[in-house]
Amino acid sequence: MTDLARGKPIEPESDEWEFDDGASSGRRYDSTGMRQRRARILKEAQLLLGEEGIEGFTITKLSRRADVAQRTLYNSLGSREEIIGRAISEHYASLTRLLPPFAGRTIDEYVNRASLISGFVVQLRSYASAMVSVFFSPNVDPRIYDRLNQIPEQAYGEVLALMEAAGIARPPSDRERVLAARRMSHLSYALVSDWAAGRLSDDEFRARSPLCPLWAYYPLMLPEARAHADALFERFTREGLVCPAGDLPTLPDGA
Amino acid sequence: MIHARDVFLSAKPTECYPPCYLRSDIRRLTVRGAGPRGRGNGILTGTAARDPHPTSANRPAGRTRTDFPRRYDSVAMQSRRARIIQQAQQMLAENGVEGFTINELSRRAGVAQQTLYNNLGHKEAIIGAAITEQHNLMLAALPPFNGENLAAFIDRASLISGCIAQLRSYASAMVGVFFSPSVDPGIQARLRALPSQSYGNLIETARAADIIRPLSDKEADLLTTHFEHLSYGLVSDWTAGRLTTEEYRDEAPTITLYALYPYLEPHARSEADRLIATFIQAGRIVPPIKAPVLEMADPTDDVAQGKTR
Repeated sequence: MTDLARGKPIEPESDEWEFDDGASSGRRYDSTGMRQRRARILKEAQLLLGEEGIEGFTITKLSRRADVAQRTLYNSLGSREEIIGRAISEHYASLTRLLPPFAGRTIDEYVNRASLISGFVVQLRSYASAMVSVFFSPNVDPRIYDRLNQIPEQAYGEVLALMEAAGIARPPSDRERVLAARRMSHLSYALVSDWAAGRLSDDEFRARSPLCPLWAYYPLMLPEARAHADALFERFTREGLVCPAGDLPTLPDGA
Repeated sequence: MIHARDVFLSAKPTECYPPCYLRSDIRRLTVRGAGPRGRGNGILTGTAARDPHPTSANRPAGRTRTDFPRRYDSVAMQSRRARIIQQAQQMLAENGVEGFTINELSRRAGVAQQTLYNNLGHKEAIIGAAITEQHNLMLAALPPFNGENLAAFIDRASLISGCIAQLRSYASAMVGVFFSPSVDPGIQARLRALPSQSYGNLIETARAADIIRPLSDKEADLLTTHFEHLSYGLVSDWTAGRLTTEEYRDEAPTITLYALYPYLEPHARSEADRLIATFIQAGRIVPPIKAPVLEMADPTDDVAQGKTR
C-alpha cells in the first residue's frame, strides 16, 4: 500500500524563484510557473495534512516545506482555512480526474464507483484519517467542513438528479435531499473512521464501501431499484461483498 | 464490623503500605483474615458456602462471580465509587478522553491513585465504566421501553435526544472519542453499544414488535453499524453547532427510521413512509418530548434550565 504521507517522495521541481538551471529558463513568472507553484503548495499542504492533521497544520510549516514566503502563500491562496479547504478539494479533484466518466444509470454503476473510490482511499490512510478527524471535530472551520461534506456525494456527480433521471429514485424534496446527503456523508466518513482506527481491514473497508450509497439513498429508491439493493445487501451478508473489489487504482502522480 | 479490605481501600495515600495491593491480594486477605464470617484464624473451613467472598474453589456451582457483591458491598465503598465515577464523567465532559488523567481523577475524587486502580482498574476501564454508568443513569431516569410499534420508537428517540441535549459537552467529548483514530478498542466498543441499548436492544425490540423482518447475525450487524454511525453523526452535527438543539431533537427520530428502513416489514415500511412524509411536511414527526432533568446536565444548557427554544 502506498501511503501518501510517508511513502512517495515528492519529485524535485525546478524552483522558479531560485537560480535558473536552464530547464525552466524563460518561464519563471509566467502563468505556467505560477500554476506549478500553486500545485506544489497544494500538494505540500495535502502531505502536511496527512502527516499532522489540521491542528498541526501551520502556515510556517507549509511555507518552509513548499519553500515559498508566507506572504506569497496568503497572496496566492488566502487564509490558512482557505488553503486547507483548497488542498482538500484539489486533492479530491486530482483523484476524480482519474475516474471513468459516471452516468449512474444502474445501481451496479454506483456500487462499482464506490468500490473504485474506496481503492483510492485505502492508499491514503493517514490523509483519510486526518480528514475523518476534521469532519467529526466539534470546532472544525465551516469552510473546511463544507468542502469535506460535499465529497461523498460529489463522487457520484449530481447523485440524486442522476438517480431520478435513471428511474432509480423518486424526486426528493429539498429537505429529503439535505437528509440524504447527510446520511451519505455520515455513513461514508464513519466507515473510513472504522477503517482508519483499524477496526476494519482494507478488504473489509472496500467491501463495505458500496453499502454507504445504497443505505443512504435507499429510502428514496423506487421499487425496482430497492429490489436490486436488497439483493446486494443479501449478497453482502452472504458473501461479505457487494461487488468484486478489483485492483487498486493507480494514484495520480504525487497525490 | 470493619473489613480489612475497607481499611486498605480507604487508606489515605500515606497510609498505603505496602503500596501496591492487587485486587486478588485484598480478596485473599479478606477471606482469610477478617471476612465477616471467617473464623479469624486465616483458614477457611466449613463456612465457605455462606462466605460472601468466595474464591473460585468454594464458589457454588452454577453461580457466577457477579452474583456476589464482593467488592462494593459497604455503603462507604459504594459512595466512594459513585464519587469517582461522577468525577470521571465530569472530567470527560470537560477535557475528553485525551485530557483524562488518573492523576487528576485521584485529586478531584480525593482518593489515592492506587485506590482507583484497585477499585476500577486501569484508565481505560475507568473511562469505560464512567461511560456505561452515565448511560445507565440516563436509562434509569426514563420509563421502560416496550417498543410495541414504530411510533413508540419515534417517541423513544425523541426522549433520548432530550436527555443527550442536556449533556452537550459530554456528548461532544463522546463523539470525539467515537470517531478518534486512536481510541482504545474497549472504550470504542462501549460507546458503540449505547445507541442500540437505548431501545433495550434495538434489533431485538424491533423484531419482537414485528417491525423488522428476521435478520441473520450479519444483517443485524449491518443495521446496528449504520444506526451507530448515523446516531453519532447527527450528534456531531449538533455539538459542532451545525444543528440547533431544536433541529437535533426534531431530526433524531428520523435516524431510527432511516437506519431500520431497509429491513422494515412491509406494514412498518408504509408506516415509516407516512412518518417521513410528516417530517418533510411539518419539520418534525412528534413535538420534542420532555425528558427528565439529568443530574449531570450542563448548567449552561437551555434544556436543563427549562427554557424552550
